[in-house]
Amino acid sequence: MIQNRSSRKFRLILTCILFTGLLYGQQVPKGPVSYKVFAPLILNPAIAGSKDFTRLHMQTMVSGANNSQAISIHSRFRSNNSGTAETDDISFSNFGFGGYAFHEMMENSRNIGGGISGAFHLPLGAARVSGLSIGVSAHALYNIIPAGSEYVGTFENSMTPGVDLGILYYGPVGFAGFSSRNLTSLLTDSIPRINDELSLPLEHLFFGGLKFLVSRSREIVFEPSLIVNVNDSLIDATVDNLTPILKVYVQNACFGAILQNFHAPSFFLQYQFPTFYLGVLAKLPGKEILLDNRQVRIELSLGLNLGNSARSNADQYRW
Amino acid sequence: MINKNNRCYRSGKFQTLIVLLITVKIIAGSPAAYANQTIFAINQKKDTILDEGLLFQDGVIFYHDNVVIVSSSERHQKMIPGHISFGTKRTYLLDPENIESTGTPFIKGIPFAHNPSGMSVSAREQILYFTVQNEKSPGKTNIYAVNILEENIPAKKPVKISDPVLLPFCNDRYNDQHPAISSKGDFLIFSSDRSGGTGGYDLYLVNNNGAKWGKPFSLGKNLNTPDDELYPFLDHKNNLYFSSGGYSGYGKLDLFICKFNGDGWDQPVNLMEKCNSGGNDIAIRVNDKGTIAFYLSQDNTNSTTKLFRVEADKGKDISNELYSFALAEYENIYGSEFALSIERRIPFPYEPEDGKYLSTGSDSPAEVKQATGKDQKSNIIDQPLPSEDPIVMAESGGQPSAPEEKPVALDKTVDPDRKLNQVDVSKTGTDLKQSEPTIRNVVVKTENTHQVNIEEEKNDRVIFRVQITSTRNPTNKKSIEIDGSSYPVFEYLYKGAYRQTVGGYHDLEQAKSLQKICRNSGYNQAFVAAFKNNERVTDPSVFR
Repeated sequence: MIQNRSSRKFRLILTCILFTGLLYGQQVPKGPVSYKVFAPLILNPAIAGSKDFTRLHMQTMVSGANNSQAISIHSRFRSNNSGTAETDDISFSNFGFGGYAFHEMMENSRNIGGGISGAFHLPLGAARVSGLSIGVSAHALYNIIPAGSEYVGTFENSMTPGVDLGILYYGPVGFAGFSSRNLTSLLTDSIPRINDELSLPLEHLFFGGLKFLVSRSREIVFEPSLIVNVNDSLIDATVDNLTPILKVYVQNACFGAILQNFHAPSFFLQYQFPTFYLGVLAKLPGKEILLDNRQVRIELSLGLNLGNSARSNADQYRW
Repeated sequence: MINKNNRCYRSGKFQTLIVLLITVKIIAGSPAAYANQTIFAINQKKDTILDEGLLFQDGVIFYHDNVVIVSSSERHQKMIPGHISFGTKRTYLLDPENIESTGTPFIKGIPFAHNPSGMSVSAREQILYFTVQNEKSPGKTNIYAVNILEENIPAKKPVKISDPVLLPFCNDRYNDQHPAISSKGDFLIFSSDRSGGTGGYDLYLVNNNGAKWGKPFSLGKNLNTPDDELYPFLDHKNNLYFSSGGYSGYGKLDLFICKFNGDGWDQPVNLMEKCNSGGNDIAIRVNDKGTIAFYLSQDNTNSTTKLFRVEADKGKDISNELYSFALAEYENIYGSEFALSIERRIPFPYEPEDGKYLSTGSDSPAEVKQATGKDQKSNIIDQPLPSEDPIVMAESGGQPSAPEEKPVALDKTVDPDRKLNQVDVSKTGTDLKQSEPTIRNVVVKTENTHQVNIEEEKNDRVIFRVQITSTRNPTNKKSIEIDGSSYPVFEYLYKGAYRQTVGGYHDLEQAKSLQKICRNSGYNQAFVAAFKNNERVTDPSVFR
């Protein structure tokens, strides 16, 4: 009990530290790479509540361009109406929720944004380990033009709302999802789309992956996946719209590579402890035009497994 | 003017550098209700880990030489559970020799609105009884039954079952759970918090005459305590296992066994350290061959639950082994005198108190409707129960008999008050009469000056013999060699089993010396028994 209290206190302090970093850093969801690996909720609102535990994820850039932070959380609502008198099972409802916030400093502007997500999950099959989910997210982006920016006199500080819709299938051996982001941009041209720093362009994202169990005893799983993103400025799909990801899970560790738009390789390592994980991602310079983008970018991430699980082995972290 | 090569926003005060150096392991703050369940196995010891991550809510049941568990469907996928979320509790069939395997679904589909638990299966494996939450009264559990309509266990195909039917003696006013069907299907014992009990959950018995269920009645204060009695189980000889927190024991719920004696059960015997620990020890199940038992043990500190497996030595019965082990442990602590002093059979009422049987499911449409959510006639309760495999019958009655009866054992922390309660002779006057031993064979010879000629023992003098074995059938052995010496065998019938003794002394210490020799020679459960006129004496004063 004492140990549990200490660990909670420790986690609280850690969370506060990262929130502090969030206030002074910047992040935009389309900028960093690691959220695609560690916090896909930002990509697709249907992910909200797709796990049977509460996931809090934080990430920060510690080296390289566009210093940024992001935080996200999602969970499933519970419905405590099941189980026998002596087992106290917790069952979950079909509804999940989530939220995220980000902060990013870019070349000439600074973005602060956040959103909330809700999802409905329909269990599939008798085993109920698969599900089909539909989610919606409402978010807003506040763009700040700092003094001295090239945009001073051209653009003003502005607030841009947005709505995302997503659908997701997840199961023991695979997942696939599709989301349309920033649907409100179809309704307004108040923000010029010529500058992605200041706008939320319409974007369509598909992602899907398969899990291959290589060894049950050694808990080795291969997970190749692919993200396809198409926005209204890149409507013609090319390899630049593809981001392949390969994850290899070996017990409590996960490592792999992501090829952002097929030209900027990143490598990541993630290790899970019973209630949290640590991750690091290093993005090598790709075909970047800007000098700073030729630096190696390093991002750190921390995920906390909050709350309780209906599963018996709640002490075991799960992917 | 901002120089793209000198972005001031990212330098100095705007630069955020967070270094995360975490080297401590954070333990999840999960409450006790969400147990981390692992599997352990024992063959006389408890430290062999088979696997981790399996879910066992209420232990296992045996079915066609396999075991059935209630487990999360997460575990039984073609993927490791760490990559799967959600799932539901389902029944799975596993090989008892390979319990860590993923197994196959046992019941086709999910016939229950809630998680089935506390199951019991009839001896012919045609009817499955289980505990489930009452749909109309969430939070209340009741006992339901289904017929197994179709099965193909060798092919590992899920069995098809009928719709669940609420047993007619259950209702949504009480929690009834953990059904344990007898070997012939003629009665069922379950745990309930219904009113009129001794407190907490008590064990109740309900008869079934082949067509109707009777009225449940408590197994009485000789068994039930103010604390909980849970997870009853009847083995193929109708020996009754259960867990109780009301007796002094190792801590929380301990496992007990009551030997079936043909008319009822002997007093509860703590299974001692073979099965009990400082936490909750529950849900012991024995296979029909009497060779393997599984039980659950919940850790006292962090609520982990482990599945233990106990095996009997080849050719021996696990119930007898556990019972004998407990008695031996008990005698080591308290001596044979006290052990014998509490050898009292407490027959439980075996017939309905008022002779009335409850109506069947067809006479109780409301209850059936409650069970299934639609009008449905039971095809379980009305049908005569199938005749079961032959079992050992007692000489004097039609009840199944146990091959061996031994006295009660308590644990190392016996409450004196409880102890006195258990040896209350006034409660057992009729029992003594029923348990009078019958002399089967008298072969004692005076080969040793210390031993007593049996012919001399017609004079009301007490003689102490060392009982070494008990058998279902008479051995008719004249003598037996122990530690290089030949000892005449005195064999007698007692409580449905033949007991073999050696030695015969007026001096208790001499008998104890022989007991020591016997134990050192492989008769681990040898103990001193007292006789008068060649009849077993259970009066503790004879040992003083």
